[in-house]
Formats: sequence, C-alpha cells, structure tokens
Amino acid sequence: MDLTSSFELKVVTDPDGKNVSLGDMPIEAAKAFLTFYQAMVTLAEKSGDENPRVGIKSGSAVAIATGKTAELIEESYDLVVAGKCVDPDIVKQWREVQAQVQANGFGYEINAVSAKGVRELKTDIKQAKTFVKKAVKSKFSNSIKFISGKLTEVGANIHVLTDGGEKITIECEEARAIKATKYIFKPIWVAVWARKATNSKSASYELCDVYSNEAQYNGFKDFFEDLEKENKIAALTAIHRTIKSELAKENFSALRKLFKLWMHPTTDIQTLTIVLVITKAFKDDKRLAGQIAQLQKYFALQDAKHAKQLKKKKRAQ
Amino acid sequence: MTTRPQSKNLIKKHLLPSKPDSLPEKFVSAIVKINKSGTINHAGIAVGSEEGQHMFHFNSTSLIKRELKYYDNYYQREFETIPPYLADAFYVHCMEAMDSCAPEYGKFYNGTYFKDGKVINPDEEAPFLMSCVGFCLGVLNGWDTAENYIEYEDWTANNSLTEAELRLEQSNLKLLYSYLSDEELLVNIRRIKPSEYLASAYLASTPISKASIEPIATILESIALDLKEAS
Repeated sequence: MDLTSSFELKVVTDPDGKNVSLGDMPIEAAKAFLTFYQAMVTLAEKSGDENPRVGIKSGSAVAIATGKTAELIEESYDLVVAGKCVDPDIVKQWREVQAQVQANGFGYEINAVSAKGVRELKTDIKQAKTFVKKAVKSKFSNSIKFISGKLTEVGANIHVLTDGGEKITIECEEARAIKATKYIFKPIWVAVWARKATNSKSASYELCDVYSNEAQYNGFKDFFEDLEKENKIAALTAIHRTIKSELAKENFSALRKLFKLWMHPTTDIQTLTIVLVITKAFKDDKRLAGQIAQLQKYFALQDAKHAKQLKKKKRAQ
Repeated sequence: MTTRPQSKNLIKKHLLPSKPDSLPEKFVSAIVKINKSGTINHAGIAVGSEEGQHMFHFNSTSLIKRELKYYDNYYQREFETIPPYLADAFYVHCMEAMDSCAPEYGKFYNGTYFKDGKVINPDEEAPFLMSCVGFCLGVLNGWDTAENYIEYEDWTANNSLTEAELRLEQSNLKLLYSYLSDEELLVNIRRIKPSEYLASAYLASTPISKASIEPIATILESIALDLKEAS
C-alpha cells in the first residue's frame, strides 16, 4: 500500500450499477471522468505546490494527485466547503465536481487519503449548498481628516499645534488665511483633506472647513471615523440613511456643512452618487441647490475619468 | 434619437446567462426569466457588488432579494446607463428602495419611483400597484438624474393590453379602488412587457421611448425562443 497522501476523484459505477473501466467507457461516463480529470488538473495547478503532478488510475476511472499536491488540494477543499475560498477558478472546479455528483446516477467516490486514514467527501459535497467564492469586501476610505488644536501662525498657510502636540501646516486660500488671523492663539477645530506624497512620510493638508465649536466638530468627526471602520457597502448605506434622516428633519445647515466635506477631487465617486441620488428632489431647492450643483461637478469629473478607464479596459479585452 | 439598428447577433452577444461564473465582478443589469415555451415572462434587476451577486425583483406579492443561482433560466443585459463602477452604490439604492414600500400587483404604472429611499407617487390618489417591470422602473427612475428612465406614457391601455386583459384589469382595480373614476384608472393602466424592459438596457440615452425599444424587444423575443429550444 502506498503510504503517501493521495486525493482521488473516482467514477466507479454507471447508472446500471456496472463498474466503469477506463479502457472502455460509455460517453456519459467518459464525460463524468473528464469533469473530474479537468478539476484535478486545475486544482493541482492552483494548489500552490511548486511541482504538482496528477495521474489517472485504472480499476475504475480515477483522477489522482499524490503527496504534497494531494494535501494542498485537501486544504483548498476545506476552504471551499467553509465558503472561505477567494479563488474563483478553484471554486468553479469544485462546483463542477459538485454538479456532477448531484446530477446523475453514476456511482462516485471522492477520497482524501493520508496517514490518518481515508476521508470520504462525496456525501458532504453532494449535500452542501452550491459552492461560492468568498466575497472580498474593501474598506471604506477617504482623505478627510479632523484636526483640533491651537492656531499658532498665519502666513501663506495656517499653522496648527494639534492637541497631540504635532506642528502641522495646512494649505488654504488667501482669503481664508486672512479670516483666520483673528483666531490666532485660540483653539480651532478644522476638517482637512490629507494627501501623502508617494516618496514622503509626512502628509500634506488642505483646508476644507472650520467648526465654530467642539460639539459640532465632534459630530462630524465621529461620523467619518465610524465610516472608516466599515466596509464600502455599509459606509454607503450609513451615508444614505444619515442624509435621509437629516432631510426629513429639514436640517439643511448641517447638510450643507456635510456636503462641503465631499467637494474635492479625491471624493469617491460612489459616495458622490449616493448623495446625488438621495438629494435628487432638492436639486432645485434653494436651501441645497448650490451645494448639489457643486457636487454634480465633482461627480461629472470623476465619471468622465472612470468612463475613459472602462472604455480602455473594454478595448483591451 | 440615438438608436442604432442592432443586429440579432450583437444583441445576443450582450445577453449573458445569469450564472455567477459567466459574469464580471461588478455590474448592474436587467435580468429576465425565459420560460419553457420561450417567453420572457419575469424581470428584475441584477447587481454584482462587493456584497456578491444578487437579483432584486417583485414576484407579484413580495419584494425579494436573492443570490444569483447557477442553475436556472435567467439572462441579463448590463444597463447602458449604469456603469459597473457605480454598482456598489446601486446595490445600496436597491436595498433602501426594497425597505421602503410594499406594492400590490397590477398591470398599472403611473411613473412611481423610489426617491430619497421612499416611494414617490406622482398622483397621490392613485393606487400603489405595479408589475415586476414596474418595480424595476421605479428603482431606475429614482436613480436617474433625469426624472424618468422610460417614457412610460408611450404605453397605453390600448396599445399594450388586449381587450380581454383590459376588461379584467379594470374590474379588478374597480373592486380595490372604488373611489377612482374609470377615466382616472384607465390613464395609468398599461403593460410594459419584460422583453421591452430588457430592451431598454441596450439603450444609452434617457428617457427611453417605446419606439426605440420595440425593434430590440422583437429581436429579444426571437432570441428567447432560440434559447428555449437550445436548453
């Protein structure tokens, strides 16, 4: 007996209960074996083994991998069954095997053999829900940062000593710098757009908005910090619901303050979309029309950029 | 009008089986069911987003979200008007629309749409009725920055229902909404077929007219017959 591990996909009997033999198969049996063999080849290739090998064994019709390849295939099988596999090709092959096992009257065996013994997988595969790839969810991210501290200097830019003791420079327009002079040496609460130069450790900041008190500042800060803890869909949902409830309360000044934070070329296009869709009924309402028109401009810029990329991608295919 | 004549092959090329393996990761599509006799008889919206691949539809009693399956006879076409890079936002829009209403079934559509996460009924007095297509149009109207996705008034009781269907629909509605006059009901009795809705996905400029939809819908109906025979 072979002491190394093996992973086997076997077509054992035909619907009449007769043994299937590799040397002489009816077409349906050959097709079933082909599905298994194709799956085995792909699973071995994708197993991560540097030198994967597969084989065919007679007796019944057996597609087989041995040794390390077999162990890696068994590991990937466990991931697929748990719904945790992110590789669509691996999941697809297992789904083909699953469909084959569920479909017709052939007798199959699917076994993982190791020093621990024989693990029979066919029944589990047959009864499992259709294998699907694990969805990959991205984090919601944006460039908005909130800074509180003391205004220490106003020149071409404004300089802030943050509550954390960090000296930072915030770029701003001249008119706003002039306005800022009256807050010198006073506490300030601001929102900025941060960007990191590719070759630099330090970020640079662009002034977005100033808050008149700490409570107002904290309201926006908490909202955005919560968003950053979410995945993209959850964050977009939170944005949608927040705007919906503020619209219902007719809290237009807070909404104008909120929309200001998204008036920047770095704002994610899907965030802009959600904001525009939910405020559609207010696009001619004086209380929000100006802000909505500005957000539309940022949307149009990004839309053109994305559309161009999409066109390029489609042409390349 | 920007409608170009589209050949059957080109139309067929963009109609994909709604099986997760044959679809791109991100999409917003019109999805339809082709039944055993080769008729396109049900419609919904399919969205591929970071949450996975889902179908949203109205089954004549409930609004339903479900995962796309590997083994059924649904086909889909990406909306020309909704690019894949907005699919996550569209998913959120669908979820919020679903949560916001409980329609009843009827061959009736009065331009209702889901806006600001709630249902906007242009005629407050009118009943909140819709078909599977009506639900999709409601969601699409709420998304489009133009007021309407489709020129729904191009469809009338006379040009979209048979006489028998119309009589039946009228008597059903009369029972439910006795406070409305025959004329008030008649204005919004219409049937936009699933094949016509599917055809709208091929068109890029809104609002989409019945005239631009018709030639594509006819071709799609013939493709559906071929697909029935092939399956």
